[in-house]
Amino acid sequence: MGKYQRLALLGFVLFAFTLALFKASGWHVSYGFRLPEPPLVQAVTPAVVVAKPPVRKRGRHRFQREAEPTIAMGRFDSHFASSKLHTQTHAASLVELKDGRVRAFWFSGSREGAADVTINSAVFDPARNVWGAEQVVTGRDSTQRALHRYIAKVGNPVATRAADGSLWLFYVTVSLGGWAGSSISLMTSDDDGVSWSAPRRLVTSPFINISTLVKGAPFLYADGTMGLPVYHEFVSKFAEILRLDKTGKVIDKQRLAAGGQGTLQPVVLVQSEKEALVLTRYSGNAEIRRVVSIATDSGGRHWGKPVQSSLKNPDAALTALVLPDGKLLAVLNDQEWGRDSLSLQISADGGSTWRELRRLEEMSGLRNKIKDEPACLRLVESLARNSEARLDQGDGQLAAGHVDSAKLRVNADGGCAFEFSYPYMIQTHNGDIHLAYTWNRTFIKHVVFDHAWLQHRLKEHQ
Amino acid sequence: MMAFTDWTGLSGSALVWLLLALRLPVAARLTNPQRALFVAAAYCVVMLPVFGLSLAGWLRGMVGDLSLSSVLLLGAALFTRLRLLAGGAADTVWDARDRFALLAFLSVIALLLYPFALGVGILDPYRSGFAGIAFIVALALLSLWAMRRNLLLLPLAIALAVLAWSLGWYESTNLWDYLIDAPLAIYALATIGKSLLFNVRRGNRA
Repeated sequence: MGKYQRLALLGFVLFAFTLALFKASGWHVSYGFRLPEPPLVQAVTPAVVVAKPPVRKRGRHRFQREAEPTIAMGRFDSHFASSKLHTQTHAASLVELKDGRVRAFWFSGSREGAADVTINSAVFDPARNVWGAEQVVTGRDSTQRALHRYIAKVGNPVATRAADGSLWLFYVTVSLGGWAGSSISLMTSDDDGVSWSAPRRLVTSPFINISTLVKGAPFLYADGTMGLPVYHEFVSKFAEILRLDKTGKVIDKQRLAAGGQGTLQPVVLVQSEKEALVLTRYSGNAEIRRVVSIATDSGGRHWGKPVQSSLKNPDAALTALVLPDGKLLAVLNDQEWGRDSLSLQISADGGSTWRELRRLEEMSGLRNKIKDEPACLRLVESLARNSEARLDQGDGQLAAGHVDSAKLRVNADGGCAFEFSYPYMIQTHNGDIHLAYTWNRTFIKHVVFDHAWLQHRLKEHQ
Repeated sequence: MMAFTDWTGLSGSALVWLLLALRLPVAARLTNPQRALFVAAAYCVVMLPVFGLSLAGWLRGMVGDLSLSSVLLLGAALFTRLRLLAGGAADTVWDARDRFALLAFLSVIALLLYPFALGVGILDPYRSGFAGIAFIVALALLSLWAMRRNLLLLPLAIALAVLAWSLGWYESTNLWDYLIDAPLAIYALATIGKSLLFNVRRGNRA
């Protein structure tokens, strides 16, 4: 190398590193969480008189939803958020809109991972107590065109509101292999989900940017940057938190647990400016299968060691939130095997102990017991009618369509296998709690209950 | 409209296709001006979306954006191929010592990065690539050391990666993605491994 060549190279090296140090000096990550605005919960009235619901002629059996009393303590209602028949649906998430409505997202297609899977959305109007029409937000083709790269499938949409008030929608895309080959894309909306920006890909992993998936609800740090709970599945499984600046660029990544500890799909529960608890799905090989919890008391700077919680977990996603009074509410399959029951649980001691407030779905008692198709389909119809009052109206065509859709999944191998999974829960500003989950992989079920109902259940279970 | 970072990412993938195109027999039969046109046309073809996806986009989906080290090596390979087809020398642009130093560096960082990034332990070296000043200073010192050892390619590759990261050349905000990519890591490990094995065998024979 000649003298001038060497000088030119030295100049180039010094220039590059000066620029890099200048850029790095502007990078700053502060720790501490932003607490969500407390909901405007109305004063709890001792009793809310509601009209007695019409007696359902069909669907009354020992597994049906509890009969509503004439005088109900609060509101508890359910619907189907998705409306497309004969498709597979999965992985719902919810976000409150500025006008108090709730928008849901999920993926839907001929089967999970198929090329025709799209990210769909619908809006729930609490005033009218109905879900609007299902719309396609994005899919494989539009994502591929926008990202200028091959995309094989899409999945797991998670929506949230950013610090600037816009809606952000994260979803996973896979170019190669199964879900372990996922990366995350981000779309934003300034009109509460009516229209969306082109997707952008987040680069989060050095190995072909694969294996970062999203499921849990994002949260905000005190400085307005966003924390996105994610997880890694390729080679080993572990939970992480991505940190995004206000423009959606990845500025940091924190590993919550080492690979091999089976932590997946973290849910972050912000308890104070400095304290948060992470609950994760357990996907390890231990004989005792429990939700794993990881805590911080330093605003997310340091996270403690993963420990087993008292919540059972059959290697399935869970959801949780912090109530304004500090209690924790969780929904999960509270069993070590199978996803055929779903339970609403509460903790009054920061997650140390939990107790069940309500069994939202319970089919585990019938596992492997129903052998004939007609009996199975009667059960499916009964469950569907109890999930959505609208199915009792009309000539029964709608209910028949729902049963026929669910049949493909529930009665797939000639048995009668139910699945209630991937719950996602939010609390809206009026204090209502909305829960969405996969109902037998064919519909997204939505459950809403209010503060009064919750208080009533708490009193009952004291 | 295509974002700048999409164009840079696709162009990196296009380099691979251009190298393959220059292996076609037709490339050897062209005159130099015709070959320049051929390369330009091939670039357009691989960048042009057909049914929503270009060849460069397909490759980009499979392997991600190529690091600047890969781009540098592919660019050099393209130049060498063009020179050879024009009747010039078949020598590589970089001498063997330079190439070895770069590939050895890439092998070491591949071993430091990938196992831990894929879940070995709680520490994730990839995190330092978001803006770790210590990481940047370490790379600067390594570059200066390499220059003192009369190495050209290693400091050039590192400085190019650092500059590209500073300018936001790709969609990644992580410096590691500018230094190394998975296909290059495999190539570097295989080359260095083979070289070490050869030296061991030669030593045994001696």
